[in-house]
Amino acid sequence: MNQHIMYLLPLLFSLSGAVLCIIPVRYLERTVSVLVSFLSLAAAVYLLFQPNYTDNFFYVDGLSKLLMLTIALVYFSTVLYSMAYFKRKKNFLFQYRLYYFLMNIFVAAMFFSVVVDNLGLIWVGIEATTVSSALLVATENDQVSIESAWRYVIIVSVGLAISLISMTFIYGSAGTLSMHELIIHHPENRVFLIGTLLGLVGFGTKAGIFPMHTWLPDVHGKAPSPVSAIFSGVLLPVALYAMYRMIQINPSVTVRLFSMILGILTIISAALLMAVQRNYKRMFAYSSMENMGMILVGFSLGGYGLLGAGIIIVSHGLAKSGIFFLTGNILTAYHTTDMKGVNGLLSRMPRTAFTLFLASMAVTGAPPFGIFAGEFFIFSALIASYGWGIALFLLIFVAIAFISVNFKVGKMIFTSHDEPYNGHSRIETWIPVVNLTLSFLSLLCIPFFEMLLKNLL
Amino acid sequence: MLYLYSFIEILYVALAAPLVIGVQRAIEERIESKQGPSVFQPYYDLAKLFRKESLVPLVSSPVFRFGPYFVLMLYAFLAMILPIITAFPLAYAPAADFIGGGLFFGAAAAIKKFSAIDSRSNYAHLGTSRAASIGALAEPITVLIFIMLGVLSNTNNPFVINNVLRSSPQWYFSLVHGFVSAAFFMVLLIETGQLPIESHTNGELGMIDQAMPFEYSGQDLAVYKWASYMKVFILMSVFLNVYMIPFGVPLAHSGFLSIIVYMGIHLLKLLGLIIVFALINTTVSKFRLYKNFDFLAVAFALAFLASLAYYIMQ
Amino acid sequence: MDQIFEILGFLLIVLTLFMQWEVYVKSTIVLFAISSFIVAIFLVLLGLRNPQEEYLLFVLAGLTVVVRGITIPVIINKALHRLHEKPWRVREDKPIMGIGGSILVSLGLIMLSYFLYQGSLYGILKVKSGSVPIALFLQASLLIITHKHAYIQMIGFLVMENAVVMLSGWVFGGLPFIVEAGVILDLLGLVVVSSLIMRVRENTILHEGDNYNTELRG
Repeated sequence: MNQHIMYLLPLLFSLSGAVLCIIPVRYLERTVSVLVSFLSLAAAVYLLFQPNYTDNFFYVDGLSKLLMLTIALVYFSTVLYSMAYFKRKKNFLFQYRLYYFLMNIFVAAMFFSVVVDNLGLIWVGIEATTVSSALLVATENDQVSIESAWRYVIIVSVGLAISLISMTFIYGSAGTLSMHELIIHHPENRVFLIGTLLGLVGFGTKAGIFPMHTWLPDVHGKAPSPVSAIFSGVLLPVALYAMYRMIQINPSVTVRLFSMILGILTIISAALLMAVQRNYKRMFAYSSMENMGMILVGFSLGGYGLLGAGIIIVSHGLAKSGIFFLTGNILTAYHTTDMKGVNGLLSRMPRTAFTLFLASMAVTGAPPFGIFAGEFFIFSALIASYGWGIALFLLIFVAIAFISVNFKVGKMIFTSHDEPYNGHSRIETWIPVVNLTLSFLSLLCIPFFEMLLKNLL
Repeated sequence: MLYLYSFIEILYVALAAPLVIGVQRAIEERIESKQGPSVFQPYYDLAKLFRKESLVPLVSSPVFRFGPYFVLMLYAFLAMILPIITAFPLAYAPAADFIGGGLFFGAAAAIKKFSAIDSRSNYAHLGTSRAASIGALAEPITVLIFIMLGVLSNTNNPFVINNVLRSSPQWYFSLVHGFVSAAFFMVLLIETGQLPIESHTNGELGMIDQAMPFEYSGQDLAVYKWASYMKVFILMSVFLNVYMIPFGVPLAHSGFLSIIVYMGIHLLKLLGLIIVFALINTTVSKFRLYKNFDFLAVAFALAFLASLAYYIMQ
Repeated sequence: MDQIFEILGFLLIVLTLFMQWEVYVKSTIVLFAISSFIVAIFLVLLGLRNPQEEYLLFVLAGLTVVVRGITIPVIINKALHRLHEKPWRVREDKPIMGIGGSILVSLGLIMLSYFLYQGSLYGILKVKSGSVPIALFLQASLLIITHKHAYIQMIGFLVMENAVVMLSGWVFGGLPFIVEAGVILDLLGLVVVSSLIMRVRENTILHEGDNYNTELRG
């Protein structure tokens, strides 16, 4: 145990950051948060090169490490961006210091969820993310964001109650919730099957998967941009991680088919709803949903599908968080989330416009970015196991999503000219660029990802 | 002998019914720290009304005139066939089982409504329509209760149900019995016009049963009131003797004296129930008229839960 | 022992029906506190039945009483008192469905859970009347769906958690202690956080009316 405590390093860093944030010293919370997020990023990178490890408390495999890296990257950039973003905001729901406190707790809960072995503790960790992030959504104290925070709390909690039932079923039928034992042997009865299916639905609520996804666009549309970024970038993949564990402990045909159908339905509904959006933040929220559906399809296929899902997790996390930072920039300049109110982005803030254009290409799966490679792997796995028909069918909806997002973003960028806007600090415009670059670089790391996920493929 | 018991029973019901109402009113007044009327006030009322002349609306038909007498007759008949002072069937008991008894109650209510409509008074019509809409929804609950008791005892006979419940604790303490009793209690509150449903004032917004005899006076009103007292008395007795406290009701071999003694015990049981009613009447406020249907829905839910509990637990 | 469990389970179902019937938020909170105490009694009985886990289940029952039975209702109640001058008059005024109708739907859900359970799980689990906690779960979700008042929705969620505790104890003999304890702690945190959100939400609705529907759509 003693030397394996290193797998808890990111968690310990962010948790200690949270504790230090309470101390009422001016600027302390910001300094500490930047410091601990950098330290946890360093720890996550260090852990990437450590061996997999399993005991009664830990279950660390390639996927855990991959998620830890993504969380740490998005965490670091979110903390940096928050400092600039909240500078001109007033009327907080709570003390500004508490924002960083909750952010650190939130990230700590995610770090916790991806390394523990007990499924029940994964549930506890994911529920803890709900608790800590509910107030983050409502940071900007107005009625709509409060309402969306409330919807988030109640819908996600109900969904997680369903997955708690699934924990009950799994524990009742298998006698253990420990993942490494369940992977080795699990009962082949209906109770266990229903347990895993309920788990998929329950955790799917948190991941924005089809039947109970309704909180997702509300929250992403109204939360402050850094919070939207961290939600979209890593919170949804962490919930998907729990879903993957469900598939992993019961890799039967029913479970795989069920999760694939859920994923496909998510892609379809997201693509269709994306086409009619007029609020750009909501549109990108639906785009996140589409990517989550794609990841779930990849998880359900296994093999190269899983590799594709891993690639999408990393590159989507980076690119989408970049996009939400950019929407924050647009919101501060134009004071509206309506697309009609946003014109001539190119002449008003050129760097933001270029980055947004490239990033929206990236998240919808245009070639030179990581998500393209991930979708490519997933589609090839889909064709290999289910034939061309379903793949082409799915491709139609991916194309709809691609066209609607890029067309709408293009309309925002390339319309009439406008005076340049100089209100943004340099950090606000450069962080998205860095994130997008990293998202592009993730394409080069595919062999490394494959090595990480080797024993899962 | 059975005919004698029947005669005693009918006499007992007819004479004790006003007393029960009087006691309930007196208790309610005492709870509110008032002096209150004598417990014999209903008798005085009846005596006074019998001495007065009856007025009949010009436009009404004989239905109006004879309604109360028919109703009184039906309740007197019901007093003979239901287990009120004996736990064994008396001379006329084979005439009707529980469902049949329910039908007689329904017939009495229908005659009341017809005679109220026949009075051609707006208030009486108002009360009739309210009573009809509530009664129509209370009826299925009653039927469900009877069905559940039939399932427990395999008969529809109130005497057998009494014997089953008093002799088998596994039924008496079962959830099914609990739910049925709770549902019947709620129906009893509706049928006897207790407070969450109906207050005993002549406010036209809340009147249900008070509005119906609006045009009656004198002797007719006395008969009408007496019949109403008997109805309350019979329903309460059935609730106590068949559902709640089936113990102690004299069996066939226990003889004449025990029946006489049981009359006293029965009055004590009724006193307990009346105290409960008085507590409800003094603490609960009246529902708005359309809220009564929520009350009915809950009563139905309890009766339905009884059947669900039976199937889930078997 | 099973019969006592059944009585407790049906008592919870009836309490949930009463919550459906009740319009005043304060009474609903009291009803929830009562149902939490029933869950605690249930856990104690469960502990008496499984002597090897007795100690942990008693601790869990104590935690349930302290957290679900006392602390959470007190927190919600306090939030209610801060928000309104006359907290006993706070009520659900915009239910999606009439009370009578929702009670009938609730009955339908109890029946549905019975048939679902009997059809799919009874054959394997062999636990008689295991459908009762499932029915409670569905009823609680109905409570959330039919009400718009944040406090009642929250209580619906808490009833749901109680139902899960019932289900795990009754049908499967309980979850591991560490998980249950984590669940209770999470619940406490959730209630603290959401009581703040609920208070602010009700406050803004009280002063500005609800106009969020124009933005949160599609």
